Amino acid sequence: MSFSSFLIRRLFHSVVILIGLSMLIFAISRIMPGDPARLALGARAPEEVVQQWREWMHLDDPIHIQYYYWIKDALQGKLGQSLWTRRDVSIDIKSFLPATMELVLFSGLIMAVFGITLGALSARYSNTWIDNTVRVSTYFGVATPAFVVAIFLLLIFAYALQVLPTMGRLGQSIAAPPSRTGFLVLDSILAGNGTALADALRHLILPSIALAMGGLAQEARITRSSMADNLLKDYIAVERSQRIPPRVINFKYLLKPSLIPTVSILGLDFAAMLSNAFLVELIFGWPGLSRYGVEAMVRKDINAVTGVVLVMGVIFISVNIIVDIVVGYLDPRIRLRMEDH
Amino acid sequence: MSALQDAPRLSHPRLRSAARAVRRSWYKFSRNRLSVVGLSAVCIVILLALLAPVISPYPRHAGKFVDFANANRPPSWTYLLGTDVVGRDILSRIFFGYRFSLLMGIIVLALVVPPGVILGLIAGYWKGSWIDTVIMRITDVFLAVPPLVLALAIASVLQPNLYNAMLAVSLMWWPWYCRLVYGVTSSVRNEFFVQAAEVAGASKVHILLREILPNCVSPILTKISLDMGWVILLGAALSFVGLGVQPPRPGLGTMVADGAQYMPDSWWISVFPALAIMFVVLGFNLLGDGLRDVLSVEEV
Amino acid sequence: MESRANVFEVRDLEVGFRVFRGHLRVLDKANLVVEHGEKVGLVGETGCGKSITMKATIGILPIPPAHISGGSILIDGRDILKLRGRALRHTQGLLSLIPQDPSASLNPVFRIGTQLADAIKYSTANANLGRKAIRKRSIEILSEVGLPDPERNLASYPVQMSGGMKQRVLIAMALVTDPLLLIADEPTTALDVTIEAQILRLMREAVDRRDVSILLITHNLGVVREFTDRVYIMYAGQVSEEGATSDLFSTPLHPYTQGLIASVPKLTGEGVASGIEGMVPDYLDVPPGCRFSPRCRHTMPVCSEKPEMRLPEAAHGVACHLFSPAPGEEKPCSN
Repeated sequence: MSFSSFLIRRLFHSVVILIGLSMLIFAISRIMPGDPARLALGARAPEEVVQQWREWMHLDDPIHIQYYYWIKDALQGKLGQSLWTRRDVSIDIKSFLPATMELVLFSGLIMAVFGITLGALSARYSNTWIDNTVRVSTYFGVATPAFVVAIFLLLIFAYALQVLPTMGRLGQSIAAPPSRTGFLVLDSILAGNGTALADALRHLILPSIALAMGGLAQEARITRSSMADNLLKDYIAVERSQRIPPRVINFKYLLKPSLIPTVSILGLDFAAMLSNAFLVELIFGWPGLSRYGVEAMVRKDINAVTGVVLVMGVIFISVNIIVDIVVGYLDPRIRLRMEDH
Repeated sequence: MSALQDAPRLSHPRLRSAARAVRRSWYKFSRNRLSVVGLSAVCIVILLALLAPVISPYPRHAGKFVDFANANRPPSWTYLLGTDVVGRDILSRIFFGYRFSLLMGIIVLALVVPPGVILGLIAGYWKGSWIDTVIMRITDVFLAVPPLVLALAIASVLQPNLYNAMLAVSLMWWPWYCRLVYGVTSSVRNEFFVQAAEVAGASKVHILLREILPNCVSPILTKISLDMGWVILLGAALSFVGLGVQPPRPGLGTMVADGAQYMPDSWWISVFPALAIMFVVLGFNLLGDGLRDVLSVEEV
Repeated sequence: MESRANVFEVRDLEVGFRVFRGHLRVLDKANLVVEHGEKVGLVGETGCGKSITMKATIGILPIPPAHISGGSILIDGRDILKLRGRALRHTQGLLSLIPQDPSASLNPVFRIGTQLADAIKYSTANANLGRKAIRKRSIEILSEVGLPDPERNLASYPVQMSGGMKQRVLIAMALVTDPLLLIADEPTTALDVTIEAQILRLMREAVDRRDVSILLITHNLGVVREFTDRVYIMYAGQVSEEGATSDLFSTPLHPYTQGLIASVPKLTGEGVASGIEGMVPDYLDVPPGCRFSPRCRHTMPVCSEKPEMRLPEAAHGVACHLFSPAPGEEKPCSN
């Protein structure tokens, strides 16, 4: 059993899930009460037009035929038309996705780096004030929902101290750099535009921290407990008896096995972050996918809702694959043994 | 001696040993200060919710009520946590808000745990067969979407109210229990006592419920207490977006949303409900952690 | 009598543990010696302090809550309890550990080659070896311990190897640093009996070939009898008897040793093996004097004083008041 066959099994597994997910989403979108044709065309449209529209959308066909057409379109990137913005959902999503991805990736970075570092520090100095502070903070970090953190951060930094901006991705007066990746930070770097870069970062900080907080606390806790557990393991004692310097033991032989549970949890924390992105974007007026999705949901825009959920699902599944690959790299026991499920 | 004999005793030996086990568990539990803090917090919240009509200073503010003369008042001795934009007392509304939160938690978990557990038992017992594959793939699909997204999607196709929010959260929460029970079942499934029961001709129902299920009880209980916090959080998030508790009812998330636009001037309208959410979630988290420490020692 | 210092010596070592309930006084002035080229056994039940002696020597004793309250540990004549820093590491590097549980003693997420290379790289004997030289050395040592196909094993992970193979790797790691002394901590307890025989043979051959001393810590009398030249018997943190293995087994002097030997069922089928009545003492509340006296059939009032190690026969010492001189006789010398 080698790494590549492990990978292939994992990918196959994900494809199956993706198919199931599409069915689930499709099912949700079709159970909505009300007549979608009427909703799309308005109450005053004449009956024949509505009927034509129904045929065109295959709404009278059996459910599996409908699913077939829907999937065919989806695979080609055609996700229907938003009832609200009146544009193709795929275009809407493409325009809003980069903002969300930038926020989520930045938060993910903060979450992983600070979470693991704090956890490692906590383990290294266990039972000192550092450890105790970190542990108490993580309890609060885990219990506080992202939107609450967002509100507090806004209150303190944006309103009380006035050091950071409140809304949006870029200040009104700053000219945005030409959009190459859609990521303001990258685009600013690519264009060599320092002011834009600084401003984009200033806008990114608060929402990222709000999003990252829960996952950060989780990662810190898991890192700490995993390092503390592994420190007592026999192999560490044997390595010390072999006179391997403590620095090498800590940063190599202790770190790698301790990262395994941490990285495994990363997938779940990422999911939580994607979810919370919805609310944080609302609070900070971040022009991202989540906000688009929530508006769509409130307005019952099925196509948009379906599209957003599908995209979120794909992102999440991809992240999980990456996480599994990394864990498989870190822990040879997983990829070298036959796993049952 | 006779005083002891006169004291009421549980006559059934099983009850007696159960009572002993409870006392021992409580002793272990109470050693950890944080768990006791969690338990106290949860009890406080339950009491506040139950006694809300009695102990709220302004019980009528929880419903349709306006008093524009007293709108947007900061915390004072008359209105301990201030009033909101239409003049309702925040403190009283928080007490009533806890009712919705706890209701959500209880109903969702009651809806979610039985089917999840049953499916997990079935999938784990017939591990390796098509039943297992089908059930676990279905759970994987539900777990493939970030939780809030799925809940929002489901809630959005339905009428926005608390009950539909509960339904939405339930639909995406059951896979966790299925997975948990699946894990325990599949590892316990090949133990001797299960095989002994099979050989003795016990019915599958008996094996699942009387042999395997008791092994799952500890992790299930732990998860339930931790989940109460998450479900409440999810409910607050849904309400925040407008898909849960509808105004004028005092859902905690709804209250935070109401106050968000008046930040930072009337900060108390959002902040106190937010703190209330934190308090109850923290309580359940600590309680759940404590339960996990107590219950898991019993298992291997 | 050689003028060289003994390879390993423990003098009057006292180790205690501070715990919530009080203070555990575990090691009570323990003494032992390993001379050049010797195979010495350290025998005792679980909890008698043999592992603690080993851990204190290697430096893996968790210092709070443990603390060394007295005595010295000498490696090649130098007291490591008085050394610090590089001198300490250098001296401790003169010995190697062969650990107990091969499955738990290798880091599961690193290849064997990596771990072996680091063991080589950081040993004083092999300082400044380049990568190629380290790899060559690794292959040599793996062949020496009898692992087939060393190159493949270098690239393997512990999870791919059997218990016996892993123990061979650990022995290789211990040998590759060219130590003066090997400390083997119950090296075969976690292995099957057939593998146990192979590993013991491997260790004996390596020790003989390289002229290195070995301290074998075990509770298994059969292994001791087969493998060692001399043996120390430890009970509850005190050394109760010491001597040449053959002497000890033919004429055990201390009541505890007699009880131990009688506890081993005999293949010849004579009678039922007897146990030793009573239990190992609680270190919180340890009996004064001889710690075995509560369980001893021959206990006397004087046993409440600690018996000294005396030599009723040449090179065969026992710490028991049964062998104390009557008052007025000359004082015996200790080793």
